[in-house]
Amino acid sequence: MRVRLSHLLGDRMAGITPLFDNLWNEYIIWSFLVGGFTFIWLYHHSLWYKSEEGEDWDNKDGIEVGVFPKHYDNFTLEIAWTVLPFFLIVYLALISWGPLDAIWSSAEADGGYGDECASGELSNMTWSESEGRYVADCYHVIYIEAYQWGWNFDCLEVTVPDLCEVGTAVIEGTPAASLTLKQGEVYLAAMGSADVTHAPWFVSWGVKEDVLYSQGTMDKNGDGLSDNLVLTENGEYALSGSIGELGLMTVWLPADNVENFLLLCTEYCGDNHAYMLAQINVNA
Amino acid sequence: MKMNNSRRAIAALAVMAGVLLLAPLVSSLPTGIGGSSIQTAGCNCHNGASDSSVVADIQGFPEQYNASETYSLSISFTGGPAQVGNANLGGFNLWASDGIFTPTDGLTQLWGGSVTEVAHTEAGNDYTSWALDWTAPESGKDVDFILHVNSVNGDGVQTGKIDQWNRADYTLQSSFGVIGDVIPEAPEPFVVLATLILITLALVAITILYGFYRSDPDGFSWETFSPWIADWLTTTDHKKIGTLYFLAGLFFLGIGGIMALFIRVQLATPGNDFLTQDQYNQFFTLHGTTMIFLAAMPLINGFANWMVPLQIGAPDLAMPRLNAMSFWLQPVGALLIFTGVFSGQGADTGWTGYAPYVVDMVNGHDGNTFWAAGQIMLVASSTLTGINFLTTIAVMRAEGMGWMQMPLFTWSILVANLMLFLSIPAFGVGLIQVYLDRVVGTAFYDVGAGGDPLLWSHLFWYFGHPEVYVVIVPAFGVISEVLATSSRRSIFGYRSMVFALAGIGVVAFIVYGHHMFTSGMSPVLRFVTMVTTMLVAVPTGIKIFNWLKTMHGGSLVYRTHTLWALGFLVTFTLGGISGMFFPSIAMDTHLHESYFVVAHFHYVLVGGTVFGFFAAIYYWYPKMTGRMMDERLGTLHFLTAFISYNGVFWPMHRLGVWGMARRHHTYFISTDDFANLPPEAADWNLFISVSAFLFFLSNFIMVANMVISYLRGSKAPADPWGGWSFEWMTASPPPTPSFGRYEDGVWYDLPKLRDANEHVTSEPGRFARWFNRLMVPDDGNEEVTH
Repeated sequence: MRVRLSHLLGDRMAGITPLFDNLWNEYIIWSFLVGGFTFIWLYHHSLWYKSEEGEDWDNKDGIEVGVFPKHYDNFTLEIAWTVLPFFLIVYLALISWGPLDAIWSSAEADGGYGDECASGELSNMTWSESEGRYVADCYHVIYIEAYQWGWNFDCLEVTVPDLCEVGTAVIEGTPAASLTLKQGEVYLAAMGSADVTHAPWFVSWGVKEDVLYSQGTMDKNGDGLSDNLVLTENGEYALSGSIGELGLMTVWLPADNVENFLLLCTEYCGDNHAYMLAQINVNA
Repeated sequence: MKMNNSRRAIAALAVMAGVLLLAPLVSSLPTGIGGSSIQTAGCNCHNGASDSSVVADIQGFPEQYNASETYSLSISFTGGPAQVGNANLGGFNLWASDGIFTPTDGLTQLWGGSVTEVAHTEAGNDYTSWALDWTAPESGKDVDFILHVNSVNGDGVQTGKIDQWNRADYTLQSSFGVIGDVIPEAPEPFVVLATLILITLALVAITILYGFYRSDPDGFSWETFSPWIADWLTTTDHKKIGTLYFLAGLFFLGIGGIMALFIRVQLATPGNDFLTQDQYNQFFTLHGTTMIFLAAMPLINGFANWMVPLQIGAPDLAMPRLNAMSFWLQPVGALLIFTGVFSGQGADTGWTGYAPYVVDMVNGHDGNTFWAAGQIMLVASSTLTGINFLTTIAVMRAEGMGWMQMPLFTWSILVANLMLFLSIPAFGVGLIQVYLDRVVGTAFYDVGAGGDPLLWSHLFWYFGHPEVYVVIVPAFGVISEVLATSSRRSIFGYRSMVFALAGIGVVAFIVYGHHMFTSGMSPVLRFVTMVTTMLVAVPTGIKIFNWLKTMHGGSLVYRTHTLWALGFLVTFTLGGISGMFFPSIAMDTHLHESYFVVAHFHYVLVGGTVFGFFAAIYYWYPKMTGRMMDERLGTLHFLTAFISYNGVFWPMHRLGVWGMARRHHTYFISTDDFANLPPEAADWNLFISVSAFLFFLSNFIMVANMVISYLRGSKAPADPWGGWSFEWMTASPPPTPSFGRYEDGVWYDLPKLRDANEHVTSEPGRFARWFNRLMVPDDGNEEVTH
């Protein structure tokens, strides 16, 4: 268990996910320390060394127009405030490195969520204090298509209704897609865009990823589905190839709390960019 | 015979002329009637004149309409030859001066691509009454309706006296007031913007004319004005070009600020409709582009043009004519960039212009082509500027001024131009590719044809990240000058300041990936970029601590430029600290593209670059104009601007963490159905908008101070602040040439730098020896000539 100053803070200040909040708290504390040190120094010197009008002053550096003044330096101090911030940055990089596994947006890296769940299997997501991240036994793959200007969701082979369900919602009077997931489950969203680059921001989970154009969002084979999808023998939809083969982007979606929140588009994509919404529901 | 031929010709011409005259009046019968002049000429397709036996009628109008409300209308007629059993019965055309018609069935259709004109369809030709909807406008103005109806006998012959028509006129009032009340129209944002720009241009022109008048009241005539303005338009003198850059930069700083105010009005309340989505997208695009390329960079170039030759003791830049070309590319580029705005088709891609939307010819705006073209001009301008300053600093330094004896502002311009020169051509390549995609039909970024939008991201950010250091590094140079002079000390750690500048310049090129953390970067590269981005804080921290140590043991003189330098230290430090949150990728996935980013970059760009250049204005204005600025107005400017600026941008940190996205036309407050932003987010947005207006207005104190001081300020001595660099040796304002005299191809009396450090060796170091090997041997013919 890493000992961090942020542990002094107790309650989460940011309120996003524990992973975000732990880092946030640590960075906030160091920001206060570094900022406080700088500003106290600034205010002290700007008041202590203030001169009065007409006051005599010691021209210790030989300031004279047309003359390069005497060097004013201190090798020890300069080394100190080169090395000390460097150590702080190494520390901050280390604590930021740890959770990176959790947000590698690829199942090929070691995401810490195991393999894809078999039919009916649950993720059993839990918070690992030692790793500082969520871990799970397995994950579910879902499909998201972005288009100007909306979202299409597909639960693929996650057919147990309370694990994944697609519907519609009305957001501020505008119909939009909705995606209902189950608390405690981890989902890997495979995503493609039908046109320009979009980026879904799952605000409550603090994750977003760019969604690039995918040729498979077209229906060139005339089966009534995006070419990224196929109808299986069980009557379910599945990806027509591996995520890598299809060139889809991915993002991990750890459904940690029961809540309903908005999904926003955060890569500018045209006129209705601000209204490219969906509703994410997480049920118990 | 000839007479008969003439008459036949005249008759034929008359018929043709009549057909041509009549043809535009009506069209496509019986599938609908309409045309632009039907409201005036009437429906004379079926008969020459209206017939009172046909009575037209509209039912469904309210006594007074409510804005944006939809009403169901029923149009009908009685009379005329229409009878049940006829092949056709009749038709209608209804035109309104405002509002929106919506056909509700297959019997009616919109006409001529307009939502204010509706007519029957071919199927509707079999009826004597039709139903449709009309949605009232928001304007509150009276709305006129003109209804034409035809009653036909069904023989399919449109001419003759059997078919008859008539017309009915209606005027509908709004519920806002009675006829005669002055109801204010909803303002068209682009009209307001154009008006403000024109007013600003007029004020600038009046100021220039007044300045010219005051310089010689007795000689105020076209004969004296013409050569004066021609001199300014054709000058190659670095001081005049610097002034031109400076005025252009200030002008566009104001225009960019006006655009920001439009954005803030729109965001003052959630769900606001002050700007449409389309307009909003154009405003934030133009705001960013204007501020970076047309405000910040010209302001930097203005001071660089003025001060670098003075500081190094050079008579001018190395290539004065190239310098003039660099400047004049800017207003031409600006004209191109702004083209399309006032037609509603301005660029709408954000200043980052991401592909593939930037080459989207369906949903994207035509103005994106002009945006790319204008930016190409600015790339050319900056590349030429880079060549000019690098050459000038390398070969035209005064005797005694080695590399490590240059003033820090000159060092900062050197590093900035080196970064610019190396990075902006990549941006130019991307822009040319965008331009070709849009105009010629190439497929660099056309995803359907196999283009790669990530190529743009790389080309743009390879330029874009060094660019933001290009705009902040000169501000570092200014702060070094101002703080050292105000403290009456040397800058602390001159050498480490130089190495920090160089370090920032190098590291800037290897961290641009932090703008692409969410673009599918490989895990290894993400980690490397994370670490290198954090490491930028080391040289930046060295600079901040060196500035603070400079004041130690000093004798700090408080002038306005001192206040701005101290204010810079506060805001730039805060901006730098907030920037440290982004390289931590687990936080970046939440904060990217949120208002936390907006807060960060406005703290470093406005709180860094703009505040740095406010300090430069107050510091160097006496040198440039020969007049001292008013310190009381300057202090008032600082207090009002600094406080209101923090009121604008500090709360944005919180909004970003809560989940407010940038580049969004509006934002959503949590409801019972979904969680998004808390209710206090709306209050903070309103507070930010009010603060933005205060910040904008506070800067007029500085503008007024500049004008008043120019006219009535006390005369400035050569060195009002006690600086050491060469610009303080010259008169205020400096003569032309600034130093020395040029006779028979040789410069005389150029300044020589002395050095108070007795131990400094006069031999060049290793880098200087290597660099000198690149130089052409001095054969006496390389001096700058005008």
